[in-house]
Amino acid sequence: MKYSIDSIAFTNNLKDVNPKLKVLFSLLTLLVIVFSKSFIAPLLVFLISSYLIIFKAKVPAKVYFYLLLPAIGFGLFTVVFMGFWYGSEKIFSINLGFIEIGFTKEGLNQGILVFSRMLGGVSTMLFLALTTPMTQLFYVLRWLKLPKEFVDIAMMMYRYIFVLLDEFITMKNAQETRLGHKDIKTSYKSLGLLMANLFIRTWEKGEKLFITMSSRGYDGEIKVLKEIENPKLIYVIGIIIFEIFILIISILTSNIKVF
Amino acid sequence: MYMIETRDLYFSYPDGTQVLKGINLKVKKGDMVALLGPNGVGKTTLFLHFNGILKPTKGEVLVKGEPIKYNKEGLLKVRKTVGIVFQNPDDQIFAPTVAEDVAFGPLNLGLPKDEVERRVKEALKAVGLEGFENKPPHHLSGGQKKRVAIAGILAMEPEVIVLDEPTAGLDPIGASKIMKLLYDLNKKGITIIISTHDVDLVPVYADNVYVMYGGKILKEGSPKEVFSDVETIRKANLRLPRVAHLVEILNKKDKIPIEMGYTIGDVRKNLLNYIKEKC
Repeated sequence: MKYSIDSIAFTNNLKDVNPKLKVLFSLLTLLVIVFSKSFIAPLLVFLISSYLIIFKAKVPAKVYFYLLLPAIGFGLFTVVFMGFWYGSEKIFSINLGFIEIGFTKEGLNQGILVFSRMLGGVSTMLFLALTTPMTQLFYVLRWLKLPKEFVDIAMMMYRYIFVLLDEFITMKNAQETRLGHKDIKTSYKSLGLLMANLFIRTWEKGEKLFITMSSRGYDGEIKVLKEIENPKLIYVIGIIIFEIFILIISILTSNIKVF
Repeated sequence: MYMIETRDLYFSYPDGTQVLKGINLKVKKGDMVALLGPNGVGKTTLFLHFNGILKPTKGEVLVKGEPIKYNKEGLLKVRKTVGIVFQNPDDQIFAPTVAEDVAFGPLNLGLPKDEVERRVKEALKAVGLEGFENKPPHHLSGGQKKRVAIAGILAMEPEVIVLDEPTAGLDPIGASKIMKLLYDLNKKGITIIISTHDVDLVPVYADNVYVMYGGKILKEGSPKEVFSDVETIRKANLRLPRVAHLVEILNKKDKIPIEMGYTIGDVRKNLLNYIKEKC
């Protein structure tokens, strides 16, 4: 648990930066990237986010790249897949003996664009996830006027993930002690039992929680004490200028293609 | 007038199991009362009656001399007076940060924000957790979580605090720290009711002890009165405090007539008296 996203979010060097700014930055950047027709702007964002995460927030680079890995794997798959799926103008082909796969110019360009958007998007989201404690995000979600029920449930989910994780680990250890995971077959069986049990425990916890909350006067609505103050206008303007800058780059480079 | 009084209280769960069989209990203002009994005799069930979470099948519960009214206003009033700290703090602490969890009760009382902030600060100070405001509960130890749970009730400024097994699952130092905290709160005038089977801690702190077994109260009185009835104590699957047990053995087996005591302090005094007389 040393390097869980949660513990990093609580200890990184940017944890005290106003979460409203981080949310604004991440959401606007994501929006710009998704609509970008150029693969250069998302890559630029990827570099900037990575820089912020590794050098400003001081998140261990190993952890960051580990979290990026799924996105990279999926992205490469997309490049290859799109390369032979779309378009008609073949630029090269691979002979697999029984079948010939042709890669098209259009498809590859499209694939690279999607790949770069993926990198950029995942890195901005990781920036938010790794630098902002969830506890602060809940305040921002409330402030953004998301439905109360949604935020209340999210809050309790966050709290109880860790309680149930503990239960899970305890039960798994108890099973392993009694050789419940000695081979694949017993593992599947034990995992099934564990999940069923965890479900029942969750249910019981829910009932107990309702009792304890009623005991403190719960009437169906969770009221919250604190609010997050608004960031200084200058920072907001800074972020908007940054987004406009990325947008301009994205428009200027929209004709540049790899193939 | 008693802070909490139960009159001939019976309770059965919907499946028919009868848990409480005629409980009569009276708690005076400012007392520290211990409910002593082994697991599964209905201590928790009884506690859930004290603030109207459960409704008795027969009999009644009076808080400050008034029977509990089981409607919205009545329950809110009772929960303002009687706070329950549950055994497992993970069942109670639900908010993502310590401060928000402690603020939950006072906010439900409809207090203004600055008052809530003051109460949160004071409650955290009282339990010795200043500076933990923005920590998430899963970064805390068991003892710290227990303290947060107590702070969450303290912040509602109840007149009675009911604690279900406050020392369960804590290490010896943690357990005596919690008991010390409860003792201090009691000195400030808060009535405290605890359930426990820790017989060694009870005589040190409690003014009044109830022994509960099989859904009934077997005995009631000061720790001295209750523990001097060894037969009842053993019938209720409990035992004497270690020091008392030692004195009992010395009396019976070794024929050394030391006067009985139930705390280390008492036994030490009696032992010194005996030694002075003999030597």
